[in-house]
Amino acid sequence: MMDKFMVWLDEKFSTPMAKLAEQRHLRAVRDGIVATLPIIIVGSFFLILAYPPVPKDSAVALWAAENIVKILLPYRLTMYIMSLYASWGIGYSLSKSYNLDGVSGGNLAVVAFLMTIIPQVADEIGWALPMANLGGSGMFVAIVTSIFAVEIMRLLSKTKFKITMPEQVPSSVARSFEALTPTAVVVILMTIISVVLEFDWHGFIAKVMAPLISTSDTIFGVLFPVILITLFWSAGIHGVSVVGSVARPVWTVLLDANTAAAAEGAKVLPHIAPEPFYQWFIWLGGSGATIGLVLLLAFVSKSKYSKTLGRTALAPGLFNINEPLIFGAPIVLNPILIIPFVLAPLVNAVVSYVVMSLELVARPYILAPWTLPGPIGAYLATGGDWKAIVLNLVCIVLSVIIYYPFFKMYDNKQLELEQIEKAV
Amino acid sequence: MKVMFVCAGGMSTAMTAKKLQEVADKNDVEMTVKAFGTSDYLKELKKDNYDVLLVAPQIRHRFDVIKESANKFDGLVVEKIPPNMYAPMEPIVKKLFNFIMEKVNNK
Repeated sequence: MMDKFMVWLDEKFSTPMAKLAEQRHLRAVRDGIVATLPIIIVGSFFLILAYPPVPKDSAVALWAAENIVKILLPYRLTMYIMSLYASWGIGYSLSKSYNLDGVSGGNLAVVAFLMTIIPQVADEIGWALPMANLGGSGMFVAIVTSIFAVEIMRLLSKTKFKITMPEQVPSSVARSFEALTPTAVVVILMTIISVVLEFDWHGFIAKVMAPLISTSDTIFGVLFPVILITLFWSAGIHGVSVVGSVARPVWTVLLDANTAAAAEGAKVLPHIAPEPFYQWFIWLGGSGATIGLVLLLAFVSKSKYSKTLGRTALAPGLFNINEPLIFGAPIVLNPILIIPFVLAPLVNAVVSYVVMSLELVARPYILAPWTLPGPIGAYLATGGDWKAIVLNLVCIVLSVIIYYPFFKMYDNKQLELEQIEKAV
Repeated sequence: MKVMFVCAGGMSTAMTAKKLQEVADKNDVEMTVKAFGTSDYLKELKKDNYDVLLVAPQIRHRFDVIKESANKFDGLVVEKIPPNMYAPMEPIVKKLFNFIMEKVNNK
């Protein structure tokens, strides 16, 4: 039975499904959002500065409280308006994938996205663009309008309805003329939709996406991607990369809502499960919560192969890199090790989710680089809650316990193989 | 011979790449091995003349896209790393070394 399952996992499930995630538009959305990660990471760190994890009456905390508006400015201009950046990236990637000019595509996507937001006149400062929908809550609008803009560009590039320059004209000049027609069409269409028809892009898409967003923050909304990601990795395919293509926009909306609430000084954040929740309270040591396995291999294994593997995989494992383990053990298509590889993250997810819904540990709202060792990442992600370190360590212990019986079977088998080899 | 590995971020492959370099040195084969992520490999291919481009197994679903994008580099051998040859341990990397030598010699 297990053999049949392995064949299914490899041939029917993982490879065809992963290929789906390589669909052009999904790929463009993925690359566009991934390109904003540095902006999100750096921007969100200013929140730690604004609410430093020190006693409230200390000099540092008092200074921060006094200057909070200024301290948060870098955050407001980076993460707080991340959909604006994502929109450019999506437009760029998608037009590149069609062999169209990437810069024109990126610009056109931004134009289309900005035209969903109506500027206002404010006293003394003149025209102002309301920023709220430029952030994570506008992500799905940015995705839709960016794709819309580039598709128009592509349609027009195929028709005769475009301006083509003679060959003598320098290519950069020619390019900007070629972008004239699609820009005119996009601007006119967006004006009709947003201004003439007064279509509320953000209200409408928020309503459509609301069920998906709220489901993704439930325990089932957490367990489902965890199962998918571990199954992909069980077949040796980068699960987070595949599932993230589809799920990351949703995770980003959750993260943005939490960060925005934290910037307003909220005590309890609205969501439990933005991406850092998976990173620091489920994927201990990498996908599959393999930190337990790597510790067991490095320190208690008896066979020579297990020991060497454990020592090789230990250092990267502490920084959440576990490919050496996944392909070295291997866990890939290994009926013994796949069981804890799926099970350990599920248990960690349930425990951490319950602990956070009971408000025993702060909820994550800061995107820390994923290669930080677990406890440090957990501490930063929750804006400096020491109890997050405890929870992270508890998850590591759970991982060790869950992997132990399977590790034993694995190690004994290696030992047996080594003895046979010696005898021969 | 210049070999490039490509994986999601270029981090996990870097370890296998280093090990492969050691194995090649031991076998007196001149080989430089570098590892990059999917966002950088094209840029790096343009900078330098590579002979072999190896795609890590965890991103094998992107192989077709990568192979197509690398078509314009003449004589570049593009291959998937078989999953059982991808871990930074000597016996495993030896298999990978033989795999590469075979692909290069049969091209």
